[in-house]
Amino acid sequence: MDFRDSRVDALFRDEVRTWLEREVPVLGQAPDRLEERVEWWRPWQRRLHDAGYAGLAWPREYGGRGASVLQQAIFYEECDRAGAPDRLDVISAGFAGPTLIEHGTSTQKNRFLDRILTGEDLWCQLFSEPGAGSDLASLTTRAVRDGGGWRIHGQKVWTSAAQVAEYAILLARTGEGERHRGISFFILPMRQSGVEVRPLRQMLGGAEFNEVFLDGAYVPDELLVGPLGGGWKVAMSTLGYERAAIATGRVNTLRLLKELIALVKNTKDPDGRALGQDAFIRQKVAELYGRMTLQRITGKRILSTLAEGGAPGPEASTAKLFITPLVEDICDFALSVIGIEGQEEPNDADPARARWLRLAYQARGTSIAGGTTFIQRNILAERVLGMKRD
Amino acid sequence: MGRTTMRFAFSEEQEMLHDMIHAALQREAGLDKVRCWVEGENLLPFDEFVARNAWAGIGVGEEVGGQGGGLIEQTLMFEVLGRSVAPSGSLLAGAGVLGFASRIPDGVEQLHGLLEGKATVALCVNAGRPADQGASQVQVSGECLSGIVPMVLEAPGASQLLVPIPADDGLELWLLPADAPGVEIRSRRLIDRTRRFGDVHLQDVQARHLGRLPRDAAREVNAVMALLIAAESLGAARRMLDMTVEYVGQRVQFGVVVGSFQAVKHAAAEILVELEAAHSGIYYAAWALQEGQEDGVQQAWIAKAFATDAAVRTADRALMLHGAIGYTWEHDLQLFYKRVKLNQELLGSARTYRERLADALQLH
Repeated sequence: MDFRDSRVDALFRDEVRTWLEREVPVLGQAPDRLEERVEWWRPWQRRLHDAGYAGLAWPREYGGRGASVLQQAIFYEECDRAGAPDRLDVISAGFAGPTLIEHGTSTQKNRFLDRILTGEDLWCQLFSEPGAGSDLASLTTRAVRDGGGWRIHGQKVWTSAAQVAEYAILLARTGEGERHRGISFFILPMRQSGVEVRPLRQMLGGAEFNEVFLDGAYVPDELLVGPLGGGWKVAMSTLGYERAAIATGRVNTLRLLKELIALVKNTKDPDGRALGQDAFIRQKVAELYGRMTLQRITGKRILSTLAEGGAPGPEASTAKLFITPLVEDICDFALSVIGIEGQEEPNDADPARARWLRLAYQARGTSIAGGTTFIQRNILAERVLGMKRD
Repeated sequence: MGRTTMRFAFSEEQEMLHDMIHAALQREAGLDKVRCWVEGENLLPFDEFVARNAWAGIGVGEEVGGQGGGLIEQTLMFEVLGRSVAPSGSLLAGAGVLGFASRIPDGVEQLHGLLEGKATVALCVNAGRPADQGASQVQVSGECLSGIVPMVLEAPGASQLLVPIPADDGLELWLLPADAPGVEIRSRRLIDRTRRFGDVHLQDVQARHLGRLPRDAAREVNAVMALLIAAESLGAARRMLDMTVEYVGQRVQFGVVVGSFQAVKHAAAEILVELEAAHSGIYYAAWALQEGQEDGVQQAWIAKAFATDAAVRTADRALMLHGAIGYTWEHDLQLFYKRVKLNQELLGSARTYRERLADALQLH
């Protein structure tokens, strides 16, 4: 048991920190609108790529650096610390790329992986449907044989970033098999007739996800990933990457706590007393701070298992269930400190306040995405504790 | 050491130690035995078993007569002890006494027989408060101590008492025989009968001054004790979860095992989520304290606050999921239930440690 960086990792951390300290401060503010943000982000991603930081933990043969998952984690830690731009390639480089590395053909790897790392192509994920959410295997989108390829008919929903994606990973039925059998995993080019993207307004008003209508969109045979009718297994590895990404910290909870503490220190109660002297507030902040450290340590624990080549233990399954309510609680508490003004619609007058509100709502999304909290509990009970399926 | 990466897992030696302690407890301190000791109100057989195995020396350096290893090993031992709801009070008190003594010159040498289990030394402080606050109730006059210290862990049966008395920015350590003239120990019966408590009455008792401990050192010792309690609660909670999963897997109602109901599964899964987080925090804190990392003491506070509360939540869910049988004297759940309730208060509750943390975070 040892939590220090090894000598090599410490050197790597220094290198990354120095590089980020030079590169990040000149970037300026990220635009709010996703379409503009993508254009703003692409040159940054290109610089990351040219400096050798894109796809750190990917094998060298696929354009990565072949670094350990620990160095990958160190890189993200340092990005958080330096205030580097949020990643826009989580789906492409985080879920789709690793899935292609695991299950794709060599032609697919040659064609797509490099453009993912440079940021030229963003991807989205066409899994969920109006009738297939938690019960993903009940999906009904069909792939119909057409010459050397397939025509796709159906509707997908809750698709983040579909409006800026060049490609999608897609689940569709190719056979009559029951449920899990008969589902195939495709790469779908998004810029074609037969693909219509309609933005969905979220409860806070923004439109980050979409409905995607597929009306005869074409996928050639060479874009099938894994065996025909064997897409469920491929999708499960994609969802595994998604959960691992959430669990090992797509949300920087340390930064949230620092901001919460600053907020408490700068706030007075209606009688003019410093809020930081209030016994209840002190208990609550300390409780959240404690949970934050446990979540981060668990992240390290998961990484250390992965680094040793082991299969993640129960901590990996529990991590998403631990971080999701934690982020909700931190944001909700910050909003309660702000009071009724915390309920004001986000505006430019007070960006910090708007951010708490957005994060609080986003956290609800996280508890649903990649398997809702209740579904995760079922999985945990059945697969880890060995309880009987109902 | 050819360490190549950050590593969370236990070493092979640590795994072996875990298995060895677990096997020994199963063999010699099974639940039937614990129940028998509790009902007979006599924990001495367990003390003798611990002494035979010299477990007080696990995690104590060989250079001072211990068995080697460090805090990670000691923490592992307490988790296993908690799994068996073993009467571990004297080991816990011993860890505190040794912690204090080892931080003053020749301190351990002055506690003859403690590591070998030949002597039991109680830490004469109110066990419901952090040990680093010392026994503020005791007055010193020359070399004589007077005062009443309530709720001292393992005072009944102790051969000596180590009395830490607050002095400016530290603790003065005094040692006295439990049978010295002027000492009276009045037993207190707690709901958890696997531990002994007593009020210590001192009237002009001649004591020996061992030395003086700075405040930070006292905080470290308290953090170690808090961590061991947290580990014990984790072990007890894991056992309660196992008992529960097993029970709901065979109890049939409405024609199916109740463990197939989602409400039951979700309750069990929620417990697991908390216990895995507790595990992460406890062993990180053990490592950090052992290696003298800056955040060691804080992480031990966090572990104590979170794990002891989580274990109580586990206990209440386990009780509910067992139905009425879990509420009986004859079911073993009661032993664990009472233990984790006590651990929540032992050395100060979560509230105490969160307040300390809020202070450290400089909230005002």
